[in-house]
Amino acid sequence: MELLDTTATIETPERVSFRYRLAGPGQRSVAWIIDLAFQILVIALVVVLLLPLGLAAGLEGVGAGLQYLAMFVVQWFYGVVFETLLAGRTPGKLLLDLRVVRVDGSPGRFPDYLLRNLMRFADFLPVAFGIGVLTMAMDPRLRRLGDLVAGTVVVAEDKANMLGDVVLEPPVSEAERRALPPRIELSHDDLQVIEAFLRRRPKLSDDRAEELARLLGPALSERTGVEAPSWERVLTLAWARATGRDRPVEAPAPPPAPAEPAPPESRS
Amino acid sequence: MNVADRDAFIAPRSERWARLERLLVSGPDGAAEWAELAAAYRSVCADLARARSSRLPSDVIAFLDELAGRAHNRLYSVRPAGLGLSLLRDSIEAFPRELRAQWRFFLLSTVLFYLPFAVGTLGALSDPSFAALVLPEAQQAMLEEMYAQEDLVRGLSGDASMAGFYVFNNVGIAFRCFTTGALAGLGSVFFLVYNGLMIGTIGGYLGSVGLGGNLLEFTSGHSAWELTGICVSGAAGLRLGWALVVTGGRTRAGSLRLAAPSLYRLVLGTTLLLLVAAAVEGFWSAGPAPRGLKYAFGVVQWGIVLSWLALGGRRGSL
Repeated sequence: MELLDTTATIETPERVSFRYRLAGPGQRSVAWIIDLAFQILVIALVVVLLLPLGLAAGLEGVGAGLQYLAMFVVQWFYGVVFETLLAGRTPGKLLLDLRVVRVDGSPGRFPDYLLRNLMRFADFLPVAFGIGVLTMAMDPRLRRLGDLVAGTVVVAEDKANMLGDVVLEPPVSEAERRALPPRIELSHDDLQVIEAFLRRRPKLSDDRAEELARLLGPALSERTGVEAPSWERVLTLAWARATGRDRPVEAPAPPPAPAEPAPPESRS
Repeated sequence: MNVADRDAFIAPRSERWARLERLLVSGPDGAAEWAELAAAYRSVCADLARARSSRLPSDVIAFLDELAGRAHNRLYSVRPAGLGLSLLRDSIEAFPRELRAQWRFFLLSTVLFYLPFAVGTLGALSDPSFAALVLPEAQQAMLEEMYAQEDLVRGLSGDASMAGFYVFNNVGIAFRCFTTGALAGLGSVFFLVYNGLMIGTIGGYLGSVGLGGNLLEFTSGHSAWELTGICVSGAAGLRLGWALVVTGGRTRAGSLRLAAPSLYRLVLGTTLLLLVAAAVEGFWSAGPAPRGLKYAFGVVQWGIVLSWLALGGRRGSL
């Protein structure tokens, strides 16, 4: 799942570039399975709706013809129709906050959606998206064949409130605080790396966390003089002191979290 | 960089960001809110640039990145108007123009289809054992039974059912023929040769058992649309495979990208051809019209298709 950290930089007409997180094969498969379920549901619905027609004398064939037509449209145009109507999203992508955009970040257009969805047949070959997954693995932007032809990428739109404070677990104890050197200077890059590590920490296993911490821990310990039973703790303590977060919790007024008061969503 | 800088950056802006977040979640409503969204988007872009240049912590930058990204998508994802009209123009005018520009691929796919077609027809006509190589015996019997009926008429119900099936089956085959061109063109070659050989052999076989007239009567109306549609899908597939293999110094992705507009028009064309074919095959080909009329109708259809492909989209036409 490391691939999921990949980002694509997009330059806007406003001359500001921002980064998107690219959707990896995992998220995209989940979205596809949801879409598959939707497709089956739609076809089942059509079959049920056409039942009365099948019973009418002389019109059985009309119902059958419409069923074939529905199967054709759902099989080939489900993605095209939804991505055109929902600005690059199918119901599955909507649920997972994924979106199809062009490589330069501009919104997709009908020809892009048509090509990428027709090409899904080739991506699926020989079984279970074999070609698609292989192509994604070789492409730095995680594009399947259909994306390459259409010039699109699938991006993830995170809605997580990323401005939350870093949580130190456990918090810096009084004894640890006293043992720390009075002043630690860390470079901007060091701070960024450690902060990213601490934010990811809840999602990592203990062993993996220690393994990652060992990459920076020894050098950091030597440079700053921070001592701790684990490398993870070395990183935590050094970062806490350098950023002034090692003080006992005195319930400081936290900065207002911008994205918090989201009104009840009505997404359907 | 310390906590104070971070807070000093966030505090005066957080309310604006929260407002933008609310607009994005609820969806802007009315001109005033859209204008507000546009303004808030521009200011968050400025905040992002500022945050980057003053090296604020990564969480602030990441937050602004995704906020600006979502606002950008919201603003720029308004559906284009007039899609139906441009679709119509692209299929009717731009497609024949494109096909003429890609005449090498069309010629190749036509040969790849009609050569096996001719082999199948002549083989099955001259040697009864040839058909057995291509067609299983059960299918031979079924074909004979199908075309032996004096009267092809199947009524509205049967017509509608078959028209739906033709769309599902034939357009589906054409799409597969196109997309498998991604396998260096080999998939398209397979579909062209296989279908050419099958259709030709069926024709030859029915001719050899004396049912050629019935077959011709049935197929004359839609053959122009259907056979041409198959060849166009093959041309699109070969074009796709060519772009993937012969990149002309570009990356493969870049080469595919360059071919995309052409592929799009060819796909529209093949879809239109096969939809018309399905409609004619469903509602006319098995109809009650006398044989002579059906032949004449078929000749007219070939005239329409060929002159459309040759002349459609030229300056001054339409």
